[in-house]
Amino acid sequence: MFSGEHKATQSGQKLKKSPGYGGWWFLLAILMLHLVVRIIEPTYSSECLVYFVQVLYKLLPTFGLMFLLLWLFNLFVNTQQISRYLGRHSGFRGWIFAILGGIISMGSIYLWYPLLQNLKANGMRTSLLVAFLYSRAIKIPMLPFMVHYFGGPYTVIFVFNIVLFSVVSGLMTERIVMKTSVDSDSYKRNQ
Amino acid sequence: MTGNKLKRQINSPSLSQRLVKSVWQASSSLFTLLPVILGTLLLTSLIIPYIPKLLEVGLYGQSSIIDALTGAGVGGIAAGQPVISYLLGGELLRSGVSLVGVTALVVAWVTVGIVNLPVEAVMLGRAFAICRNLLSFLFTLIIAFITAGVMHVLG
Repeated sequence: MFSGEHKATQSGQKLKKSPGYGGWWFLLAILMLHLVVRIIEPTYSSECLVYFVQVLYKLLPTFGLMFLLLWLFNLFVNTQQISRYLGRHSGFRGWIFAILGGIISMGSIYLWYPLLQNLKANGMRTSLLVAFLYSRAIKIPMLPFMVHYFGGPYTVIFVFNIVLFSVVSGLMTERIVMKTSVDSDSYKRNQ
Repeated sequence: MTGNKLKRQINSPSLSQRLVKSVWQASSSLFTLLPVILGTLLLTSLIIPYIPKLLEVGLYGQSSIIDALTGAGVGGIAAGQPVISYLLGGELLRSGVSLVGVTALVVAWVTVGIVNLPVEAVMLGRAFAICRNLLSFLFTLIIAFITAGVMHVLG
């Protein structure tokens, strides 16, 4: 189903990108599901479709922005830069960039997936990818809302925990994903 | 840089080739992502109306563990801006939901993405998406208990 994945080596060299038709099959499956709901519960289905149209309308400018960011990324960012700042040997600086990037990233996550896919294909560490996604839970301009509802000490503990666990989660995910890919490779070789 | 130099650089085949290549790459990424985003939004539209009902039927308030699991589950399904989780969590806390449950909801809201899983799998890899979300769910529970515990100690 998910055939649109980049295949990348640890050194960040892009090997292959298959055409992503899996997404269209996914859309077809969801449309079929909606059709079933439409037959069983027409009123509920109408409510859902109204919600869908409203959300899509709000997201439309995001698509334009997403295309612009992707275009600029492909035009100006190169593999060497990614490897230096977010690659295997980026070290402590890589963690700082990934966590701060997640915190300052704005907008829908859909905006960020294609960019992260590009970064990954160009050699971004898996652990830093996770740290970026995890630290998105902190939004500095919105923290006053949290302080208002939960108080200052809660907000400090929350932010500290998110930063700490973005690193823990990143390291563990990287270890498991690498192990899975090594196991899968050795399984294929043994066939 | 003089005007002529800049004109030469813009007109150079390498820059125009790069421009065309980058537009093509951006379009290709968008083509991969578009059906998945539409599918995910359609799926979300089927699920979202149920979330307030889950809260209304009293899923919260049974025990800390159930509160944390419910919060993480609801937060994992819901997809949206972090600020929505801050506001929703704050309102739930005011209406008497435990701090553990609310914290689990706020943390899972962004870190766990059950509805986004197909998009994440397409864009970043299936093993990555599944592993990251499972670990994030586990860490959501740990963070919820640590945060509530520290707040309890602080009084």
